Amino acid sequence: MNSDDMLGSSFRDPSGFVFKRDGIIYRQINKSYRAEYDKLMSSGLYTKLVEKKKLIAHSEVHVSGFGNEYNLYKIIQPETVNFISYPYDWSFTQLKDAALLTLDLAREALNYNMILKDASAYNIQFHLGKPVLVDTLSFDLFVENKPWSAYRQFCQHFLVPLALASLVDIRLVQLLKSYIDGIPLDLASKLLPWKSRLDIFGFGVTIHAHSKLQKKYSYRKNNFDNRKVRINKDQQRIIIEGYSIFVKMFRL
Amino acid sequence: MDTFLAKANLYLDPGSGSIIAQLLAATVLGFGILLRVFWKRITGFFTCNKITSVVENNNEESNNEQ
Repeated sequence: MNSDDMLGSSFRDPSGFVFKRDGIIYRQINKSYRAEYDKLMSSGLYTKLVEKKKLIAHSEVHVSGFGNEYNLYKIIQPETVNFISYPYDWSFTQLKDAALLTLDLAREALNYNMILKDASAYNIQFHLGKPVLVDTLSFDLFVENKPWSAYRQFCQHFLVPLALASLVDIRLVQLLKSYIDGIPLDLASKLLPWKSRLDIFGFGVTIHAHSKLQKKYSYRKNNFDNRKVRINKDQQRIIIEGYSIFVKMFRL
Repeated sequence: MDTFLAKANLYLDPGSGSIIAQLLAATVLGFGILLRVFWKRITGFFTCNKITSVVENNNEESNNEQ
């Protein structure tokens, strides 16, 4: 494979990567993601999400002359999305729809004993008028009592821009251009009006307390063991349902 | 070395602060949902549930008569 074929969009994902050959986009699935991919396909989660148009459909293909075979499990060809857009291009409602889709996907994944490991807004595209997840490798096997690894990412990619647009100014969504990993929580906490701290169930927990806790535990001296925190499936469902209500309440 | 490799393989490191924030969110939101359920029960006690209990009592009485 020529290095030119590899696309930089999936550079961080250890489960696989995207490449282009003769103008067609493919995705390699690495051997390390075998169990997760097989579970996604055999459990019925893939079929259900594709039927509901929440996940991009794909077909398994063979690409000849492929040069990265030592780590290759499968190659898939996802359905082509004609127009690629980014979160900072979207309207307020599109961002809201993408956030709700992400929560929907997390909810469905839990029902099939899987978890959405990645809640990046860049994994959502608008295809045929609806938001759809384009990263097939975003699902992981569910491990009981293990916290949702994408929680912070969901807050920074969706809740913070929506909160800033709703309570301060819609132009602040453009901060996503500068912060590709999502708008930092401490910045959001400073920008949001003081009265938002009084909303304990919403902004209080999601942004202000989250930002303070991040700051407190960012120093090595705290030496906190993450494994001590246990968050079971029901608690994760509570977070998903709570945030679905919270996101639906955002208005411009 | 193992710890280093384990950390290198983490696709997304949620961070200690975010993990505790997640636990806090689950607790606070759970409490909110609990509060909502109890509020419905309290309001239901003065409205629908009262009617239901009357219906249940009537049914029990008719069963005893038979």
